[in-house]
Formats: sequence, structure tokens, C-alpha cells
Amino acid sequence: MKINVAKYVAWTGLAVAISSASSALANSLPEHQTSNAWYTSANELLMQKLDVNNSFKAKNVILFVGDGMGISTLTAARILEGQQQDMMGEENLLSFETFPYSALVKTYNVDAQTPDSAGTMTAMMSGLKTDVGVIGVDEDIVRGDCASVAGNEVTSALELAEIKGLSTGIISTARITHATPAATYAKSADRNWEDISDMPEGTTCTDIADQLVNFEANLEARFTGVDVDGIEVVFGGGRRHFLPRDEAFNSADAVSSVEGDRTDNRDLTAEWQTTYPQGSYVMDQTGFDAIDPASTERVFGLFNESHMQYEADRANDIAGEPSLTEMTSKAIDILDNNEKGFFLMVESGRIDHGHHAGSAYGALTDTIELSNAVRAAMEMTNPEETLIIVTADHGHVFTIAGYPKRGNPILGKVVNVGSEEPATAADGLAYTTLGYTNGLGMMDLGDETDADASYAFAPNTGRKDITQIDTTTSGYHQEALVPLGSETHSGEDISLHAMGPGAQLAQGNIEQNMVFHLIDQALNLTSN
Amino acid sequence: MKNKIVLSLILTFLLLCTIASKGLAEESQCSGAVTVASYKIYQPRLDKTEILELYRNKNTVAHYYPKNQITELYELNKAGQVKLTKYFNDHKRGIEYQPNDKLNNIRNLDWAQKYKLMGKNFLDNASQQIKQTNDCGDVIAYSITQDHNTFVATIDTAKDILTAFEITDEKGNLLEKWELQSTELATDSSVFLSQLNTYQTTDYADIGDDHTDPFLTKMVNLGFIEKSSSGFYHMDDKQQLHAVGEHSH
Repeated sequence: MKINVAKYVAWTGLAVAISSASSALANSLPEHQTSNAWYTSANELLMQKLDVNNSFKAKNVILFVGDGMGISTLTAARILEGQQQDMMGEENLLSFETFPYSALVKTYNVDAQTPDSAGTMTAMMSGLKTDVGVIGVDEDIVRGDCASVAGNEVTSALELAEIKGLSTGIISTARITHATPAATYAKSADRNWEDISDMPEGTTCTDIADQLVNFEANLEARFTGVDVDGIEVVFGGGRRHFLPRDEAFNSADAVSSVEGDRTDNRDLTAEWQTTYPQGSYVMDQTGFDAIDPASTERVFGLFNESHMQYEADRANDIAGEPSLTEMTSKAIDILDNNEKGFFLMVESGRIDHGHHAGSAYGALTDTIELSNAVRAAMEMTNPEETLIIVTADHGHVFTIAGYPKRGNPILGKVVNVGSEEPATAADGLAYTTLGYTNGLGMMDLGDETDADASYAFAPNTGRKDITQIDTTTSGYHQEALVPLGSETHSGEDISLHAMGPGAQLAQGNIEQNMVFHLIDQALNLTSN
Repeated sequence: MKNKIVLSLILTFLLLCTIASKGLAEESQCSGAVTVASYKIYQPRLDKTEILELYRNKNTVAHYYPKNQITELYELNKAGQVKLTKYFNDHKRGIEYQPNDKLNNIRNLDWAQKYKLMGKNFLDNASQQIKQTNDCGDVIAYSITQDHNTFVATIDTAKDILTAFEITDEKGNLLEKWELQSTELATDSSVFLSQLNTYQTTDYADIGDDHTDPFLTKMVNLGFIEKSSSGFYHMDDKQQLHAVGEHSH
């Protein structure tokens, strides 16, 4: 890089002059201003930021994706977490909100103003935007047309990390064949082709579960001469897509009379075990706890028939399942056995589902658990060699509204500044701070912790009298305006937070496909 | 003498065979609950008649509404949870609901309500009157009066089947009547339930993620698609609970 010396001297001189002037002005500020906690804490943070990280290359990258974790979700979750710790709440920060670098991210898909997880995660994993509903393919794909896949496949950061010799892992609290995790390893003309029973009859395409189990062979087939060792850590839900439609293959915690969905009579968990005889297949908390990270070379964990439980509802799982934090910690413990480094993708998949069900409690408690998982990753890795990125795929129509006073319970009714009673709207009724633009509407399900319980009831949208209802309970679902069978995504920007080598490139307002390039730059995936 | 002994042994054997045979026959007549049933449900005030077909085995029950081509399948899992899948038979598609584990006294949890069509709370609290007795069991009328209405359910305990259900008001006017029409249908229970298992299903949790599937889009755009199904079954919850005998004290 060439430096214009004259300009540099001129700017430096100006900077010194400004600095001197600022110092003189600072000295003239009243003491009650400069000693104010807000003032001093901000100044300390500024000093920390001046200690610029000039390291760009990382050994490891961990990408955390909060599915549906829009900015209002972050704000509400940080307040809820703070209030759960007896703080007023607003001053709290989620673990990743302490990261030094952040950016706003534009989420739209090539053909959609408001995106879905398939198109957005393909952008993050492969460096280009594509259509809504498709996985690991570019915009020339025709959704649902198997024949259009060939020639339109794109390569993901996880695949490049494999080729580079890094260890790789994927974690999701959703089904591991769901759109977000699938975009790390699969190519599909439809996000719904999770197993063969979901595909058009006579298709020549391969379902997503099959692609996961045969990832190593498929990748080697696409790149001549490449020898990879496959994904080392897979943790998630979605057992149904790996098992035959036969009651004899039911797991101990099957919730359906026939757990498996596959119509080709294949047991993909058994096939995986045959391919990796040294690997461990686990399906419950006991199996998970028995994994020794020091001696485990690879693990395949499918902890639920469909999506894993909401964090708030996890204790009700039949066979028990690990938390996102536990899975993240275990994965890092296994992946860091590779001295070359690792790439790990962690999705908190049920933040999105909590919002779809109209349950702020479900969405926010899962966001807090994601924050816990990130904190664990921060504590287990060296910040000088690990780039950690935390972002979302899209937001939701979730709002923080009214003029509640400082410290007002974030799940509560709006109580205005200077008041002790809930404020009332023009219709004379109280209202909550949190709400949804659309969805199923208000429901009072008491201490229910499964957000999806609301789907058993007809929509109850519009204004309701909530005077006698405790809206802070786990079973309360917020009011919504537009009646829909399921609350929707939003098209607004989401945020990205980064720490570690290369994190300083995360700034400004970026297109979502930039995430791949941040990972690529840090790990040198496409260049030597 | 020897012949008499042989004859006596033969007669004893034949007698035992007869007794055993009779026993088997009686056992056969009493063996097991009805697996299929058809009901006519009449609401005179609305002049509305609906048909409900019931298909069941031990841990799986299907409520099929032919008029609207909707089937509600309930599965009782090992943890005692009841899982609902709502099938739209014309579309050969289904929507899966999470098994509810905490919503006590709310629908989808009471297995008796799904299997017998009468809720446990109703059966536990109703006064009972034996209407008929036979070798296999009783026919019992369960009765409760609440909110000026009287609910009477008649159950054949041998076949473990609801045979009639009536709701009348305080003046004796009929509000709703269920009649068991048949316990033999064109499709047997195992065939019907197996057929459902071949339909493509979607978790309700996933519906909000996909607005390009016409079926799912219909779900989102129209809201709770249940509203378009049978009138009797999809009135407000309170009436529905009454209709299936799930009212509580």
C-alpha cells in the first residue's frame, strides 16, 4: 500500500491539533459530567477500541446463526436476561454484543424482499445471494426442479474448510436437515426435500439427509483428486429423515407411532456408522454425556424426531437432550483436536419458531441460550486465533412499543414513566410492550413452556382485554394485528457481531453474502 | 368294562371340547373393542347433520370427517403424550402438532376423549346407570347436568364404544344428538391408518418458513384452516368441548 506522506503528515498534525483541542475542552467540562458513569464507561470503551486488532488471519472460525434473531429480538432478550439477573435490564449486553465489531446486514433474497432461511444461509455459506427456498445453488435454479440443480451448485465455506484439512462441525436445535444447517453441506432445489418421501416421485436428485450422511463421498466426487475426511461433529434434531418408515426403527423418545419418514427402507444412521465405524452415533442426553471429546474422532447426534425442544421446554423431552451451550462446548472440545484448525457452524434454530408461534418468551429464552453458547465459545478459544461471528438470517415482525418506564418488565404491560398502573390505549385496554404485526394473536397458556402449543388453537388476533392476565408467564403469547396461521419473517436488516482475527472487516451495512467472504478471508479458503 | 371306560373318556373329552368351544366362542364375541365406527351428529337448531367416522387401534385414533375430507389423527406415545396430526385427505397432506405435555384439561391431552369420544373428566364425574347387562359387559348411561343443559352419553363397555350422546336443555329440547350408525365400514382401521401414514406431513412449526408451497400458503393466508372444516366440530372451543363430552365441573 502506498502512503501519501504529505497527506499523512498533514492529517497527523491535524489529529494532534484536534486531540490537544479536545483535551483542553475536556478539561473545561464540568466534573459531574466527566465523572458520570455513562461518560466514563463510554470513554473506556473508546480507549479499548483504539487498541486496534490488526490480525486478519484465523486458525478457527465459529459462525453462530440465530434463526430469526432480528435486532428487536436482541434488544428484548438482553433486557430479559438483565431482569432475570435482577438488573433493570436495558443496560445489559448479551455475550456477543460485547464484541468489538459489528455491521448491519441486508437480508433479501434474489427473488424475495422478505427472505427465508434457505436463501439467506446459502448467501452466508457460499458468498452469493440466491432465491428463496433453495439450498446451496445459485439463482439460476428453478425451485422444485431437480433437473435444474446440475451446474448450479455452489461450494460452501464448510466444504472449502474440509478441503483445506480443517475439522468441521454443524450444530442446530432445529432438524439438522432444516434450511440453515443444510446450506452448509447440501445442494437442493427445494428446502423441503429433507428425505426421500418429501421429493417428487421418480426424482433423480438426492434428499438432504442422504447428502449429509454421504457428504464426504459427494464432495470428493465433485472435486477430482480431493481427499477429505468428512464432517466431524453433527448435533441436531430431525431423526425422522434418517430412519425408515417402520415402527421397528423407532427411537426411545419417538413421539409418533412411526418415527421414521424414509420410504426407501434405508436407515441412514446405520449407514453412517458403517462408513465411520470409529464414530459415535448418539440420540439422547446419556449418549451425549458419554462422549469423551479427547478420544472422540467424530460424532453424529440426532436428539429429536423433529426439531429439538425449546430451551424453556427442554426438561420435558422424553429421553433428554443437551442444551445449545453443551453441544457447542462439546463440539469445540472435539474439533480443536485438529492442529490445522476448524470451522464450526452453530444455529439456534428455534428463536425463529418461537416467533412464528407468537411466543416472545420462547424466542427470547432461546436467544439468551444462544448468548450462553457464544460465551462458552469465547471462553474455550483463543481470541488471537479464532474468529467468532454471530449473526441472524432474518428478522421477525416483532416490536418493542409504547413508552414503558425504565426497568419495566420486558414481557409485561406498558407502565408509563411516573406511573404504577398499566397504561391504556384509546380503546381503554392495557397493552404489552412486546407485540407482533401478524400471527395467531393473544393466548394465555399459563405455565406452558412449549411455544408451539399455540398452534392447537384458532387465531385470536386483535385487541384483547389482558387486565387479569399475567403476560410475563412462559405460556403468554403476544397480541397480533393481522391474522395468519403463523407469524412471519420481516424484511428489515439484521446485525452481525464479530471478534477475533478478521473481525475488523465486519463494518458498515453489508449484503448478507459478505459473511462467506469474511470467513474465506480469515481462513484463506479460496487462496493460498 | 373296557368299552365303558373308553366311551366315558370319549364323552368326557367331547364335553370338555364343547365347553372349551363355547368358552372360545364367548371370548370371541367379547374380544376387543370396536375398531371402526360411524356416527351421525345432528344439531336441530342449526338443522345441521355431520358424519364422523372413528378408526382406532390401541394407541392410534383417527377422527375422519368425510364432508370436509379432514382427518384428525391422535397418537398416544410412550410418555403419555397425545400427538395430533391433521390430515387434509383431498390434498394427501398433513400438519403435525407438537404433543402437548402441560395443557391439562385442554384438548389434545385427554386420551379418553380421543379414543372413546368422551373425556375422562366427564366419565369420572357423571352419574352412571346400567341400562343393559350381558356376558361381555354393560351398557352404561353417563349423565351430567350443567349450565341448564343435560349431557347423556351411552357407552357399551364390552365394545368400549360410545353408542349414543345427547344434549338437551332445561326444557327437554334436543340441542345435539349423536347416533352410532355402524361398526362396519368399507375400510378397516389398519388400512385407513396406513393410508394416512403415506401422506406428506409438515410440522406446524415449519409453516411460517415457507410461503411458496400452495398448500402451506393457504394455511397462512386463511389462518387456521380448521375453520373451513365441519361446522359442528369447529364451533368455539366451549361448544366443541361440550360436544365431545369434555366439559368440566
